[in-house]
Amino acid sequence: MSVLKTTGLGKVYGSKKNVLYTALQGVNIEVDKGEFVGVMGPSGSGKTTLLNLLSTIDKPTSGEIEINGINPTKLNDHKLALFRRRELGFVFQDFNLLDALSVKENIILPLVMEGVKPKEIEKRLKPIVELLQIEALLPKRTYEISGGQKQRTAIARAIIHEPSLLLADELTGNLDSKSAKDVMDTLKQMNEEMNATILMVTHDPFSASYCQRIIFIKDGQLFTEIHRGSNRQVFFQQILDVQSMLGGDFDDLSFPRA
Amino acid sequence: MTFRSLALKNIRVNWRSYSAFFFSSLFSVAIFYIYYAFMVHPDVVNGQMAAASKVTKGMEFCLYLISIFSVIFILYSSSSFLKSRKKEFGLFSLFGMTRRQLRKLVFIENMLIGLLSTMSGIGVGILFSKLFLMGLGTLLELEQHIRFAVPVKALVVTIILFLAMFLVITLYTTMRMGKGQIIELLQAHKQPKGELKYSAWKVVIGTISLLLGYALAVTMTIGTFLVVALPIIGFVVLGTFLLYSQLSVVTLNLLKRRKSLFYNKSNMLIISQLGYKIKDNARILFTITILSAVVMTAMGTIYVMQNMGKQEMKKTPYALAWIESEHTESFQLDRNEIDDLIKQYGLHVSEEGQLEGYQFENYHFALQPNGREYSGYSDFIMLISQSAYNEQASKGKKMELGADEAALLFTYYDGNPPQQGTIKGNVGEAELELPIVEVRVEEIMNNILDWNYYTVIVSDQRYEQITSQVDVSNRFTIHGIDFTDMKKSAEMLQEYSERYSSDIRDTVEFSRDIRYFEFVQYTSLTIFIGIFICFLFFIAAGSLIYFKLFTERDEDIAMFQGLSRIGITFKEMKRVIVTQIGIVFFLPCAVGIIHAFFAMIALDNLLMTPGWLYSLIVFAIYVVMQAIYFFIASSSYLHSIRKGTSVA
Repeated sequence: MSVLKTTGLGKVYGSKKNVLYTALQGVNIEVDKGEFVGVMGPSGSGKTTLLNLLSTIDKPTSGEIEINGINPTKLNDHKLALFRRRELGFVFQDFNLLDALSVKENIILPLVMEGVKPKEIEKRLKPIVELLQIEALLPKRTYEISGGQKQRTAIARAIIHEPSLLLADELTGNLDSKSAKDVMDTLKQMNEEMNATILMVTHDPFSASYCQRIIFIKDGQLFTEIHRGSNRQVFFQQILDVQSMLGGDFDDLSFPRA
Repeated sequence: MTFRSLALKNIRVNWRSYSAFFFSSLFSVAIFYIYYAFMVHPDVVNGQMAAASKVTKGMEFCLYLISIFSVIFILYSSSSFLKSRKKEFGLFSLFGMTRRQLRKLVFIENMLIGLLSTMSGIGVGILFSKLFLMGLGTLLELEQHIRFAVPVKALVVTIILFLAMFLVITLYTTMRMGKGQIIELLQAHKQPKGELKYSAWKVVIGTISLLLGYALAVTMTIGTFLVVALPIIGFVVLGTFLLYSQLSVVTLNLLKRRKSLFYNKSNMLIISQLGYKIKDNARILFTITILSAVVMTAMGTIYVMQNMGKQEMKKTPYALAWIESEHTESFQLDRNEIDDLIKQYGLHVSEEGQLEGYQFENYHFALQPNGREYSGYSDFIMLISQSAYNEQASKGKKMELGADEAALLFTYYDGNPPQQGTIKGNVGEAELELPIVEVRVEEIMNNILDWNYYTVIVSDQRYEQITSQVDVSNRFTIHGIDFTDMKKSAEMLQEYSERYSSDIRDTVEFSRDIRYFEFVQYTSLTIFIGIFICFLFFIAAGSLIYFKLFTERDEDIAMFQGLSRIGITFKEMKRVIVTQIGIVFFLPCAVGIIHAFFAMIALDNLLMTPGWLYSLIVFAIYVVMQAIYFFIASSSYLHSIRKGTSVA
């Protein structure tokens, strides 16, 4: 059963002088429930545009999106916001945690906003916190914890309301390699143990090697797709091969989007 | 690019953040100019405005108040303006601008704004000073309009004073800036804040000092006023400050602990945000509370005093009253003369009345249970019949006396008089000793001192019985007459009194309307200046909130952008924002009302009148004005946030 399905997805930006720029063109993607999919591509390939469209914070100029059977482009702003918080979970490169809230409050925010009962909230918080091993962090403030801890907090927040689809954007971009590994392990765990459907945009082959499948895009179009066998090391090598074939600049860090 | 052009460019590009600073400076300048131009206005200086010369001292005091206010207001706006630009300064430093250069940049910018706002402030001031004078003229019921004038003295003083003020303030702020590390500047808004800690001691001290202040205010009397007035202010200010900085933490912690409330939708965001900004919030809430309390207390006091004064005068039933007696050698008023004057002034008689009575001599009365005795203040007092009283006492209840009972009228009594006692004395040859069954404090007829300072009422029966034995030379009648137009009647009575020596006052009483108009003239100017100052404080309080909002704007936008990405609707954000703004607007208002309420009770104690009810009107007006301000501020802030938040 597909959780996400796009058909002929395209995005054209018009500038002031009416010069059109095609960021994305005819993209067909299908992600099944429980899949862990990566999206890779060189700078300017349209990764970020794709993610913005999927996160419903930007609207496509052509094509259709269907998430869990709903076409979000047909919703108004209010319903769209509700759709985002019910059907989607987000993990960002810049964590996007609120300084005003404690770690625990940050995690449960989606449930609180939905009006879930306090008892139910505590009940749903417990297994996730245990799985992510962040129990000790719960009462802390966001500026008291490390980047890796922040990202695991963000993952907990993204997953607590059991969204149909978890979207991750360069989630290891701001982390050192040790933290990055921890975070990716966590994400994999989410995928395997909670059967979460994940779509992750990344430029980092190491992070990407955790995925089951990687979609490469170039110049706004699908380029190729590779599947992981049993060995991650082999998969990692495959990713590097495709990257060198793609060419382009993979090394730059995309800026954290404000 | 020169330094000056960089400064100019900064102003042009960042007009939004500069505008708040500019407009508050402009406002201060305009207010100062309007007020000072009024003070040195030729008509006022030359004493053409009678009321103004009476309150010169008060007006000077207000000028100082406005000056101090201007300094604080400009200082605050300039520092909050600089605070909002910390990040920008951090970037400049990062790119190698030296501290000296940075100071120079800020100096040029600030002086430019200072110069601009002084000039445009004076322009606005000149424009509005005519309006100010017109308002004043209407309020004081001045016949002649005060001329429009632009006193050179006012221009020069305003320019010099404000330029000097800007210079000093700018020097002061530039000296203070640039002390921190670049990283602190760059991350000014990211610094951890808002740990919800409180000290139990401070909570206790705050509560006690507030309660103590209130208790002192309630129990204050004229005797203790000088001793306790300052301590009351001190206690209340300290209490308020601790209340906001400590009790707010306690409250928020309690709210957080109540999961059903805290975990209820946007409540979590609101409460956490309040906690996060607690330090800034406490400071601003405190300042605004004090400002609100001052405004409401001042307005309330003025309003109550004025109403009390008017009420007091309304107690006197007639504009003109005189004695008619066969016996007296003193002045007898000629009714024809009055009628001529009435015609001459085009007045109409609205009411006429008379009260007949006898001289009650050698009076002595004792009141129970306090045992006070009264005798010999005057040669005699007035004895009237029950029906004479009932006829005159238009309002209030009629009197029903038994044959052997008497009642007593005081024109004035401090507090509630005792209701029982005895009276004895004589009317001519007739000796009289009767129990007093009722005492009222009421002026049924103008009080002409040596004639009717007290009035004794007896039953009609008893009155007949006494007067049948007594010579008519003991009898006298007080006539009273009232006119339709208090102002004209005051002028007429003034003219009448000038025809005779002051001896006529022994038998004629006509002070009410004259007193009333002096009072109105005198208080109107006080009221006008009071309103002016209060308005100033009110605007200031609002501006502080406005500044606070726009200092936090970028932070809020960043937060809501993040929230919007994870699917928080704009409606929910709106609730979070509006609730917070609402708290900043209305919490100080509520606490300020409580403060002002206790101040009003203290005022009642001083004046010995129940005037606090009047102050409710003032409070209501304040709340309404604050509400209007709130709607404007919150909708413009929401608009600004919405514009900034619109995603991708």
